[in-house]
Amino acid sequence: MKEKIIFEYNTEPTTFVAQPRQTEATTHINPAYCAPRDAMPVLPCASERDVARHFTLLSRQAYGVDNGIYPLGSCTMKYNPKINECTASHLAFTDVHPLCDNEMVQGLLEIICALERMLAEISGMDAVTLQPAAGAHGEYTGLLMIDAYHRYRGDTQRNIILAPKTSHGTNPASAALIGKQVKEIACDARGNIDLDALTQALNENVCALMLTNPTTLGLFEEHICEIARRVHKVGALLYYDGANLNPLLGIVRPGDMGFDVMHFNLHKTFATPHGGGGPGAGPVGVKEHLAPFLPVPRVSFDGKQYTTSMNAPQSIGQVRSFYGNIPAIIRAYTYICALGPDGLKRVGETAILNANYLLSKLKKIFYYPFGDRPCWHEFVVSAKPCMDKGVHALDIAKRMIDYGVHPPTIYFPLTVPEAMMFEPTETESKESIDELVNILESIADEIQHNPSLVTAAPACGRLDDVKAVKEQKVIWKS
Amino acid sequence: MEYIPHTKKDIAAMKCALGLDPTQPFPVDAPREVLYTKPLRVPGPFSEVELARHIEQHAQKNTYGNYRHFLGAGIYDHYIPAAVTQLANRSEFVTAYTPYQAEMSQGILQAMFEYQTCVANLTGMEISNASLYDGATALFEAIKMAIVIKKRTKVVMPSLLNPQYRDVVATSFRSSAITCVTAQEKNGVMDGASCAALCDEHTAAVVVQQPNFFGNVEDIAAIADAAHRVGALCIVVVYPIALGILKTPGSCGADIVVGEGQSLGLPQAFGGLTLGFFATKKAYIRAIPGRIVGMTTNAKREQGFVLTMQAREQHIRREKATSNICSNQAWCALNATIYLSLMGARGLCAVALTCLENAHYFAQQLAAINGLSLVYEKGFFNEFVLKLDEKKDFDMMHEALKQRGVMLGVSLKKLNIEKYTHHWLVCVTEKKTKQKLDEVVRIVEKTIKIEETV
Repeated sequence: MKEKIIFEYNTEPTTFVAQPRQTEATTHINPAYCAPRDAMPVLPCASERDVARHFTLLSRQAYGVDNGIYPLGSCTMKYNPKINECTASHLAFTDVHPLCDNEMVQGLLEIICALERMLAEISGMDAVTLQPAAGAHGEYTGLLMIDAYHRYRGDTQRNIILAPKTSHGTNPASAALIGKQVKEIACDARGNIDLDALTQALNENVCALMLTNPTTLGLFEEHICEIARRVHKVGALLYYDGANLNPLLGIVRPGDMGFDVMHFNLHKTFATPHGGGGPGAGPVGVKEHLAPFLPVPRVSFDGKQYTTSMNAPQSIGQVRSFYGNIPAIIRAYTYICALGPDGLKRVGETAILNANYLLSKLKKIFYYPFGDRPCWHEFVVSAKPCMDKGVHALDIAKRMIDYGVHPPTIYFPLTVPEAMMFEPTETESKESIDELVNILESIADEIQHNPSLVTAAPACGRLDDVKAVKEQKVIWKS
Repeated sequence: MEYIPHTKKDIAAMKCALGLDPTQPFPVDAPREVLYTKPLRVPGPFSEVELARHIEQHAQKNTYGNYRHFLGAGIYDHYIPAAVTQLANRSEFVTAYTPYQAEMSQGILQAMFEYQTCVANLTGMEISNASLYDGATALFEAIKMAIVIKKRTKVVMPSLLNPQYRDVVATSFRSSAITCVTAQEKNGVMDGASCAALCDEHTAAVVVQQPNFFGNVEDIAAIADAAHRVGALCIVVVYPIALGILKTPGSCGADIVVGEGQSLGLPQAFGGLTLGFFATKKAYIRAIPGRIVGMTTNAKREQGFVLTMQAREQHIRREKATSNICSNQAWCALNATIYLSLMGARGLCAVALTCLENAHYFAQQLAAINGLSLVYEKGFFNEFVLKLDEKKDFDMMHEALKQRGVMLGVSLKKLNIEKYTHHWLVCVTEKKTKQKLDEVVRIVEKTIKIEETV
């Protein structure tokens, strides 16, 4: 049922804060700067009951991990444990102002330092900052540090960043944001970055190579050690996009593969919730040679007390206000403590098993471009064969909505036509994966015998993207 | 505890289906030289009850709650109606992904559309995006956008800008051709003459914070005027609660309005639950960073919402995107939308007036104490600069007050604000009562007298 816009309500608002005694702002502030009383901003005017009903209705038109499977490749939509919500919302961590004196928040600073250490251990890095607000922000921070490292050594001509054609869009976007030129490298038939093409592109003008491993194709970058050697040989640095860290937990560490710097996605690997699009948290880990460039403020322990400091002469400076997404930090810390070393390892192992199991079934329905190569935590199949019946990946995604499940990532990475990227994560059971397979088998059957059911999906009707761009109605007007 | 639902039977069955030996671990497809064979040195595993106890031990080490705080400087302690938390924490909102599949995410998309409307209306601008990380990075994005639109490389910054925002902007422009110059202050607000002198044909934007870092209300119209006279854009960084009283930046001539939305229904959380809002003119829609939700219809003419203008974003344009942002602060924006829906204009105005009243009352009472004075006596919203007589030892006074349970304000000395070595930035919100303020005034008075005799 369609729910009206909150601005369309017109009921008596509830009073949450008492009316002030004095009602004229102009006593203290120049009247020229004050809004006239009859020109207040247009904000909703609704009672608490209506607001509660409104947002409850809206929540029922949303689909979260708690509603069902969410096999979005590259997103790691794993279950968000509820104990993490409790610990993150503890008043000792929510009701604190960041500019209080350090001795008042020793418990919180302790958790910040502990998580930095834990992430360093998990990744094989030497130092970590929890400041960046999201993965893309972590990429930006890491690249700023790489740039500072080069400039500090008098290496000022490095203006190119390399990334594979399969890289996530944030990689080249982050590189452009720090003013570098981006050069994309093709992949070979096995899904690895093309080693020859890469070697040709490597020279003293290269600042860094950005990679993820497993790649966005869900495959292990087979020549990673050789790649690291060749990158370092020309004096460039190697950046790791931590979006695909989930299957590596306890099995392989980015630091051991030759990466100099990386970001983590707490909202992927470490089970902090996605919140409908954010907030995320993108901590950055570095090897020792990059540690001096970490952003400020830094939190440290002197044996007795935890203190915060803005004093780091080679730091790139601040990349955001204050210390980072504190609730996400607490959630990630709680999560790692819950799992312990063996639990973390089982996350990786089970994510890989789930993905390969799902792949083995979907290979029979769609085209898998990589032959016998097993995948890691995610895989890409192509819906290209369905085009014979006039059906595209988009149509299949929309038909899945009719079956009540969230579609996979579609049309990414760009190197596979009609790409569908599936990542079940370790928290999906064999049952829910089997159900997903049944749904896709039903859709495959429809494609063969009744394709219009798929091309016309979803039953509620597709929304007109073109019209939205044309009309640009981005705020409500009565 | 773990969250893996597979039984041993499931694991065995799945391995068999893959033609693998069910008694052996899954073969890892990676070169031997990179395999990590030691156990990770992390704490745990804990059962849930142990986990709760473990976190509680950390929490107990925080003594923050034993003090009365008057801290602002970008993060504020406002009252959050219970309904905000209850509604925002519904798990469909919390555990959902970005609403790329519009037909199954209408609830999230509509909430974001309502958020955009709230922000645009509150700031007096024509459009808003669906959020950025925080006020500081939103300012950076605004400056970047002005530079692209105007094709100029100079930015005039106010001296009374939150120092963290200044640092974030400096970090981002450090090795670029952009020059930031600073307009000086006069009588606690931006000096119009200094600003005008710095504005020229190279200026892409003039930035002003409202209220400024010292809590004083600026003359936005005059600054916007100075900017427009040289064809530059006026960027206003605004504290949203103040908009319950002040004229909208849009009505004063702002071209881009950004700020920190934490004060709209989000807890302080050690500065960790931020919300960068970004509003501007419709003409600039193709240049703005971040996600935008738009209204549209389906074939049956039914109204719906979609993410729109995606061609600006990283997943489509890659290195040519307006920004690199992917995850934003969506859930924080949801909290703000619920807050503004509950409070409405009347509620926001009540909060703002109470803050104003409380702050001026507290300031007056403190200034009456021998040894304390106000740097600026009027024209501030809910923050003011309180000066301790230079002959007294500021650090000792700050400690003495803490010992009596009072964190009187942000020490400007600690923030390294030049020339402000004996000053606190004191913030008062609607959460303080007159009675509590009087108690604190008495404590401060007593403490100063005691320190005097030492």
